[in-house]
Amino acid sequence: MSKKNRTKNRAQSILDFVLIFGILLTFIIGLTRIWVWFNANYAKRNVDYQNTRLAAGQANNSHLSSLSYSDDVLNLDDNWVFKGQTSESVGTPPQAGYSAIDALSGSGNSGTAAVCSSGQSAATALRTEADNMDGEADNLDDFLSWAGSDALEWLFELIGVDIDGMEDARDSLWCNACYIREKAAAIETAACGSSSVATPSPTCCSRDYCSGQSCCTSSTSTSN
Amino acid sequence: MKANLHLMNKNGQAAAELAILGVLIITAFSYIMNFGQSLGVQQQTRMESFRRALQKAYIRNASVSNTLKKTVSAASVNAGFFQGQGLLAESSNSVTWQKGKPGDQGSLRQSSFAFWRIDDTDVSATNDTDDAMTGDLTAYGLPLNYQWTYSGDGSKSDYQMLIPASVYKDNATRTETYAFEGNKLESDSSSNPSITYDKTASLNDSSSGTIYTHFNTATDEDPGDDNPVTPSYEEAASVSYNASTTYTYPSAAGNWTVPHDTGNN
Repeated sequence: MSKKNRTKNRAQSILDFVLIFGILLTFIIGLTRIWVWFNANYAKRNVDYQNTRLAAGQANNSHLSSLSYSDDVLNLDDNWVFKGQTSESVGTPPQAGYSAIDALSGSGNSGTAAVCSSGQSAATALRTEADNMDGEADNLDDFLSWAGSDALEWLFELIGVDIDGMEDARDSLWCNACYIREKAAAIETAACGSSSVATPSPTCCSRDYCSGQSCCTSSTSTSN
Repeated sequence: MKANLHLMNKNGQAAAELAILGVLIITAFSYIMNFGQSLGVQQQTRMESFRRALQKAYIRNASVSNTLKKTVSAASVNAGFFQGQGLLAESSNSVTWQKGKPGDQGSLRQSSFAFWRIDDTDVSATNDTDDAMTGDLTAYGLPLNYQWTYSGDGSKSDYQMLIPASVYKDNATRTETYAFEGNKLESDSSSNPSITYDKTASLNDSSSGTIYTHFNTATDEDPGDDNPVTPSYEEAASVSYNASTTYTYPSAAGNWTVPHDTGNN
C-alpha cells in the first residue's frame, strides 16, 4: 500500500471517529436530559404529593369531588432537550414545621361526612337552646328595665323580690347563651371544616354580662 | 485498482459500524425511556391509589381497600414506533378513617368496603343493601355479604355485618387500535401555490374484562386464640368492566404548508 493510500485511510478513520463520537455525544446529551426530565418529574410528583398530604387528611367536604392531588408533569420541550433549560420548577418540598403546606380552605381537624351531619344537628339543637335562653333573658331584662328603676326598686325589695339576683340571672342567661353559640360553632367547625353560623364576636367572655360567670372562669372554658 | 477496492471496503465497514452501533444506541434509548416511563407511572399510580383510598374511607366512614389499575403506552422497540408498548401499573391501598360506628350515619351493619378502578372507570356492583345505604349503590364498591363477626373476647356482633367480596380472578382483554393518516394536498392556485401536509394519528386503548369475586364465609369465633381458620369460599357476583381511552395526535388539527414556487412569478 502506498504512503498516499495509508494517509487516506488514516484520515478516513479519523473522520469516522469524529463523526460517530459526535453523533454519540449529541445523542447521549439529549438522552441524559430526557433522563433528568424523568427524575425531575419523579421529584415533582413527590413534592406535590407531600405538599397536599395534610390537606388530604383533613375532614373536608372537598373529598367528595377532589383528591387534592393530581399528576401534573413538567413540560418536556425543545429547550429542555436541546438547550438543557428546565421548563419549570419541581416545587418546594415541605419545610420544617410544615409551614409550606398549602392546605385546602377549611380548618376541620376531625370527623367525616357522617360526623359533619351529626355535628350540624348538634349545633342546631344547641343554638335552639341558646335562643330560648336569650328569650328568657330578654324577658327578664324587659321586666328589670322598669322594675329596677330607683323609684320602684325599693318597693320590690320591700316585698321580697331580689332585683340584684334577677340581674345576675339575666346576665348568666345571656352569657351562657353566648357561650353555647360559641360551642355550637366550634362543634360544627370541627366536624365540617367551617360553621354555617358565625362565631359570636366579640368573644363571649370579653362581654360585660359575662364578667365573673362560671363559664368564663372555669379552666375548661373555650372561645374562638 | 486494488488500493481503491481496499478503500471502498473501509468505507463499507464504517457504514456497517454506524448501522450496528446506531441500532444498539436506539435500543438502549428505548429501554431507558421505557424504564423511566414505567417508574413514573408506577409512582403516580401508587400515590393516586392511596389518595383514592383516603377519599373513599372518608366518604364511607369505614375501612376501605382500594385497587387502582392504569393502562398507559410507553416508548419501546418491542412495539410500533408511534403506537408504543402497553404498560399496566397497579397498586392497592387500605385506609381506615372512621368516627364512631363504621358506615353511614345510622347504619348498624356496614363495616368495611372494597373498591376497584381501571383508569377512570369504577368497577362497582354492590348487590346487598343495608337500610342506611342511600343514593347510588354502586358507590359502595364491590359486592357485600352479611356475616357474623366476633370481637377479641369472643363476643358475637349484635348484627350480621356487611363484608366486602375479595377478587380472586381477573380476566382482562386489552386492545390497542392504532390509526395513522397522512395527506399531501397540492394546490395549483395561481396566487398561492402550495403543498399542504396533514398527518393525524390516534390510539384507542381499551381494557375490558370480568373480575370474579368470592366471600370467605368462615368465621373465627375465638379471635383471641392463635388457631388459624380454614377459609371457606362462596362465589359472589362476577363484575364486568370496560375502560377505554383514546389518544389523538395532534390534539387539534395539525398541518403544515410549504409554499410552492412554480417558477411562473
